[in-house]
Amino acid sequence: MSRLDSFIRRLEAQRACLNSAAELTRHLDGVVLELGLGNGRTYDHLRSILPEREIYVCERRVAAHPDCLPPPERLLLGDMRETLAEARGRFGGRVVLAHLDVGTGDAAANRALAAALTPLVVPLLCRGAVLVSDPPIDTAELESLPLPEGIPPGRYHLYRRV
Amino acid sequence: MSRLDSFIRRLEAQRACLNSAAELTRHLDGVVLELGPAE
Repeated sequence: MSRLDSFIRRLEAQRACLNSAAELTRHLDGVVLELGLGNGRTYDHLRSILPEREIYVCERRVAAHPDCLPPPERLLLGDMRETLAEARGRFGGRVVLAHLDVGTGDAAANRALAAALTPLVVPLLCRGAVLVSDPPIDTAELESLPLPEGIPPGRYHLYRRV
Repeated sequence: MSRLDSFIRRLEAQRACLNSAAELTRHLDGVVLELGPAE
């Protein structure tokens, strides 16, 4: 399998998981949190499938396409280890869907960052909230959800806050 | 259609065209030229 093949498979898994998470949380009141804006592609996807939701975005340094920027009041600019800790008073228990893709291309570094962010993200999630993640996350407060049809285990990750 | 949707469609079209071009030129002798930035 070429890198082009595996990149397409990853993006398809990511999109299927975001669509599934949007459906699974449709009945919940609250906001959406995008952890890492990157080029803005998945933020653009979230706002297209969830036009009624407030979507907040964490990013250390904005480098997205100008059409894919959140309104300034919904951008949490800075190191996520700091901005997420500060966000607890504002969003604690109010996030229905969070997406974590801090992709650096280094799987071990991604897992380590995800592990560092997990205790900061989990308190923001309401009961029944869905976390969509590129790296796997291991914590008792999250249960694994089956992936959408056609997506093999491990390609992307879906969790529900218990 | 979101930017994620259109990016996936573009990559799928790119792959399908490359695969098709490989088949269409299989009987010819010669080399391949990649023009443009490699990701």
